[in-house]
Amino acid sequence: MSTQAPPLIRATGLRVGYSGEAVCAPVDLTLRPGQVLALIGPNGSGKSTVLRAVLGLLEPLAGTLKVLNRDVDERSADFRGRVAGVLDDDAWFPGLTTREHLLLTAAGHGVVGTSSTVDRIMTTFGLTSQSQVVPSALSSGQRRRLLLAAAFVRPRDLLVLDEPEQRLDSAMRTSLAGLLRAEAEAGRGVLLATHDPYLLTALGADAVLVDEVRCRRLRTQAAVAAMNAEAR
Amino acid sequence: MSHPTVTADPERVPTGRRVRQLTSQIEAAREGRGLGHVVSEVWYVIVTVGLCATFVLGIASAIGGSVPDAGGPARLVDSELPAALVVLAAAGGLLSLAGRLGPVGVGGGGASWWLPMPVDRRGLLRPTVLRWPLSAALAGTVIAPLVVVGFGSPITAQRLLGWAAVGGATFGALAAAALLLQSWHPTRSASRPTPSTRPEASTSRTVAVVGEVTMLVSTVGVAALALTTGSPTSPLATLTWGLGSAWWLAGPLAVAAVVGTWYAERRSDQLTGTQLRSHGSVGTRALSAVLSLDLRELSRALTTSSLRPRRARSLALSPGGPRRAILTADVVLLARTPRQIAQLAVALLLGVALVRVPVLDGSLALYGTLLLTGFWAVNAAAAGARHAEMAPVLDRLMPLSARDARLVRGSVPLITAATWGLVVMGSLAVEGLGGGGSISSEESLWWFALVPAWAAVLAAAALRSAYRPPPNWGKVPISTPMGGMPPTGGLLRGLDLALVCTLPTALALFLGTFTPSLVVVQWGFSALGVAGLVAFSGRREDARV
Repeated sequence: MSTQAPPLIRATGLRVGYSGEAVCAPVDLTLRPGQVLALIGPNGSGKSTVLRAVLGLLEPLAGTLKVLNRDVDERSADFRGRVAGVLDDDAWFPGLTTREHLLLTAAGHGVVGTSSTVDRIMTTFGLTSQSQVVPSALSSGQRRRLLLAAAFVRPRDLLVLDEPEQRLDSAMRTSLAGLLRAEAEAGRGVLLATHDPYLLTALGADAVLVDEVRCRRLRTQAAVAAMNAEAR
Repeated sequence: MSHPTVTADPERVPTGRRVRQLTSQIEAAREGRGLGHVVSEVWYVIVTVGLCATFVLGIASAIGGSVPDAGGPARLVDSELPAALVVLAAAGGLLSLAGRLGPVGVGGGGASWWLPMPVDRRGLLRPTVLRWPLSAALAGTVIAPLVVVGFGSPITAQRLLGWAAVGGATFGALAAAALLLQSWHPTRSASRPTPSTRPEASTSRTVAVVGEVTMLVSTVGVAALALTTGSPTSPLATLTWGLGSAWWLAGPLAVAAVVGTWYAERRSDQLTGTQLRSHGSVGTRALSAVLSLDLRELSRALTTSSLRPRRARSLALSPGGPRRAILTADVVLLARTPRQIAQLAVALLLGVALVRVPVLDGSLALYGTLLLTGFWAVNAAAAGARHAEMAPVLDRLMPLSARDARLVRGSVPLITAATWGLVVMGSLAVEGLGGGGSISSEESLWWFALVPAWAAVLAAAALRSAYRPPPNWGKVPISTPMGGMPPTGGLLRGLDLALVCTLPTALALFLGTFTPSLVVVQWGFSALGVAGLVAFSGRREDARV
């Protein structure tokens, strides 16, 4: 299925950066429904910048970027309804509890059975005991889990995650890998930036090595080897 | 862990308005916003409006009583032109603020939890869009009559109402224009059917720059009026210009404000999430700074958003030691921050003009004017010290002690303070030498003698202000209608030093006479203030000046 369906993301010679200055070499990537693709590379190589462009939060400097088979425009309600993203933004409504944030998100996306859906997601992410707590009172890891839960409590065709393994314990990382595999099996696409060889291995995903000189696509083993070499 | 399935129905996606209401209802349920809360809010508004009205009427009455008689020395043209220029400068300030804050932005929880929803953005943003023209119109309605009263014009109900109407309509129309420009996307082409988001940033910057130029030009106009009206040959001396029959301008301006706001609201779904988040972030920072009374953070928030992220070229700096490196960094920062240069120029011109306003002539009001405009001017030049307090990257690279680094950071403020003193206090002295104003020619010489003493104090005060402790986010936050804000103990830090160390001047103005002994005492106070700053600078009780 995944190789036949039209791609969720197609980037050709994509240049991204700030103030007219590209932060990495041109990126070529294709992600089809049912696939998981990782972006790897050292800190500051431009992985998050590529993700921001895919989410429509940054205008490309050059090249072509099509998401859902059209130009990226996050002003489109359809785009926002089909593309879920989790970056490192940590902001909350001070008067809302953890559960209420998820309820609001689910309601805002027209989820059927809002309350029961939110309860299931909270169980999945181990947040049930924190349901009445305001996010600012959560630990760093719990807040990260809440952000991830917000992406799973809503409908989506494409999931974009920036280093989702950050601040998660090893058990939660294993669970996350299972969730992301299930996303692909359900026919959705997952694009994530990661520094975690374990997560990449567990996903069995290809990766694009983002670099200043040349960006290239690697199979899982080669990508893990590149990550381990970078760590050394 | 089982994979949770989510079922959604696009027909069930709520409107943006409903999402706002839902969020508000949840917050209200927690905060207990029932009928009692509404009644108490209404009562609070009634009391606040009543107090403000009493306060404004009191000021108007006091000012009216203190205006010199017709036979007294004329300081400004007998017209409403200077008041109109000051209102125009205030309108420029509004535009500058609107450009820096968006005007429309979504910060905090809204940016993270509302903007990704597939709801209509118009409904989501409506209150944010409408808030600007409404607040601006209200501000103009209050500011314009206050200014005309402050310039000592004869006060009649018709005149005050005319100014209130024109002020409110002008400010409202300008805010609507800023809103329209924010949603303007000129770049559409066959190769890029999706409008580019880049012009948004440049139009916001343009709005801010236009506002600052307006402020500067208006202030130059006021200063020119103030400096030339003393000359009998000046054409301005005989100029009479009143708002008079021009109050009808309020009509078309109000229509423009309403139509502009209506059209901008319709186009608010064209605003991009990037810009809404970016402006919202600046707005949240600025609001937090205002509510926690942290003017330094406010300056940082508004300045950072206007700094160009990239330069066409880097300066070729020649080595000259650590002190020269820090000094150069401060000078370059000042030169590359148009807002600070505009602030400096406006403070200088305001100083020159305000000391000629009849109600500020002599007395403690003159002292207050000198202190505030001087402190404001010198603070513009202390941006380097403020940034160094937040991120002392350059200072730590230099082989200098914390004290030495901080004292070097005081160089640019000192030069600025001396310039301000020569221009503002010097103009007072020159006027006295010429026989104008309330200062005698003998006293004029003492004003010149005060310039170095004031310069040293103002520079020390600016340095102390720059290195004050930041808001303490670790302490219990203060409850405000905008949410919890961190307590700050540093609002008056810096100004306190300036206030204490210039008390002899205040005393002289209060007594209405300048004597050599008072000038000597002023020098002594200045020396003590600077010595204290140097002695405690960089010490570690918290390494604050």
